[in-house]
Amino acid sequence: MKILAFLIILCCLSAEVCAQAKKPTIMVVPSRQWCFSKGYYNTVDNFGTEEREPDYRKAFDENPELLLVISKINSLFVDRGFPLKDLSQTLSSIGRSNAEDLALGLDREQAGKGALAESLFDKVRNTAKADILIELQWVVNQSGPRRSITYVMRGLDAYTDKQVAGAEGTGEPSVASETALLLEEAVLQHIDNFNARLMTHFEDLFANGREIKVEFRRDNNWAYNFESDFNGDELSFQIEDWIQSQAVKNRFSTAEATDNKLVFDQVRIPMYEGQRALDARSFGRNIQRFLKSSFNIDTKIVTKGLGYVQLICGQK
Amino acid sequence: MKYPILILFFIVFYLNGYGQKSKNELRDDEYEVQFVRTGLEGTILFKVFSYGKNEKSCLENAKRNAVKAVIFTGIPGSDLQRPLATDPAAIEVHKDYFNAFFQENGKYRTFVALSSDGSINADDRMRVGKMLKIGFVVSVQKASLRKELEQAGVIKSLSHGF
Repeated sequence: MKILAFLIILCCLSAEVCAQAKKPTIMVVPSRQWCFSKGYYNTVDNFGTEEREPDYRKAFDENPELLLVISKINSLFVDRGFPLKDLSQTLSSIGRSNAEDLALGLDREQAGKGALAESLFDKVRNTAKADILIELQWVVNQSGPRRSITYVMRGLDAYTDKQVAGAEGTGEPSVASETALLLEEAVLQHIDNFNARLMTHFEDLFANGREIKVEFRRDNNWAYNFESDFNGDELSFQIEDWIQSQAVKNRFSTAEATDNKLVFDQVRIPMYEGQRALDARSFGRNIQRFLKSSFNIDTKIVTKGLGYVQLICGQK
Repeated sequence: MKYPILILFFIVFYLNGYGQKSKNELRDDEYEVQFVRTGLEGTILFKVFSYGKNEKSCLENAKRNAVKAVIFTGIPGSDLQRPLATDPAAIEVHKDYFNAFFQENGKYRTFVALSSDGSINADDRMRVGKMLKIGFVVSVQKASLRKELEQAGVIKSLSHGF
C-alpha cells in the first residue's frame, strides 16, 4: 500500500515538472542607434542597397563600458533566478558557424541557387534563439562640469518585435562620477521597474499564449489557389477555421486573404505542446500536417525569426 | 447618588480612552513616503513620515511602515514605483503571514535600517493634535525582502511557471 502511495506521489510530481513551460531566453544587446553613433557598424550591400548593420564584436572590443553594463544587467538577472544569454559568447558561436555557412553558400551557388542572405543581427537572433532581446542605449550629457546619463532599456519580443518592457530616464547630474559609475547607477535605478513590466508580459504569455504571424503563399506551379474548394468549402476558410481552433482563446486576426496569399497576425499559440515548447516553426509544422492529411496539399515551411512562419502551398 | 455618577464617569473615561486608542492605532498605520535615491545594490533609500506618541514610537512605526510601503504601495519616483506585491489582495490572502511578519519585533525589522545618525531635520518634525509626526530616512533591503516574500509564496519570482 505504501509503495502504491509513493508511486502516485511520484507520478504527480513528474507531471508537475513536465507541465513547466520552456524558460524564455533573454539577451542584452546594444541598440542599433548606439552602435551607429559610436561608429560600430559595417556597411553591407543588400541587393544593391547599401545598409548599415551593427558590428557587435567591434563594440565589445573597443568599448569597455558596454561589457560593464551587460555584465551588471546579467548579474542582476541571475540574482532574480533568470540567467541571461551572453552576447559575447553568442558572437563566438557565430564566428564558428560562419565557416559552415560559407561552405553551404558555395554549394548553393554551384547548384544554381541564390546565396544565403543574413545580417549579423539576424545571425545573433537566430544563433542565440533569444525570446526577448534587451536593447540598451545611453547618452552622456554634459552641462558645464556636471554630467548625467540618459538611459533607455527596451525589452523586445523576438517573436513579434513588439516592445514588452521598458525603462528610461535621466539620472541626477554629478560632478565627480565616472561614466562607468553613472551607468551602474542607471542600471540599478531602472532594473526593478523593467523587471516588473517583464513579469507582466510573462503573466500575459501564460494567460493568452505567444503571439506569432502566419503567412500562406501559393506556388506559381500549384494547380489550385486559396479560393479553390476542398471538401465542399473554400480552402482559405478551412485554414482560418483551423487556426481559430488552435489559437489560445481563439485569438487571431486575418490581415489579408486573397486567392494567392493569406496572412494571419496576432495568432496566440500555446506556450507548449505536451512537453515541447511551441514556436512559430513547430506551429507551422502542425499546419503542414493538417493540410497534408486533410487535403493532400504539400507545403514548404520558411521561418523568419522566431515568431514568423511562411507556408508555401504546392511546393515541397 | 455618588455611585451612579462615579460609574458614569468611568464609562465616559473608558469610552474616551478606547476611542483614542483606536484613533492612535489608525495613525500608526498612516504614512507618507518621499523617494531619496537608489542606495547600494539591492537597497532603496526614502523618507517615511510616521505618527507616534513620542519619537521612539514614531521611529518604530516608521520602520514598519517603510517595509509596508515597499511591499504594498511602492515608492513614487523611484525604481520601485510598482510595489513588490502587485496583487492588491495580497495582504488579505496572506493575512497570517503578514500578522507574524509585522508583529512587534517581527521579521520585518531585519530588512530596514535608519539611514542617518538619528538627528531629525526640524522641518521633518511636527505635532498633529496629540501625536507627533516625524520623517526618517530609511534604507530598505528590497532584494532580500523580495527573496523572503518569494520563498514565503507571497509573490511570484520572475522565473515562476518556467
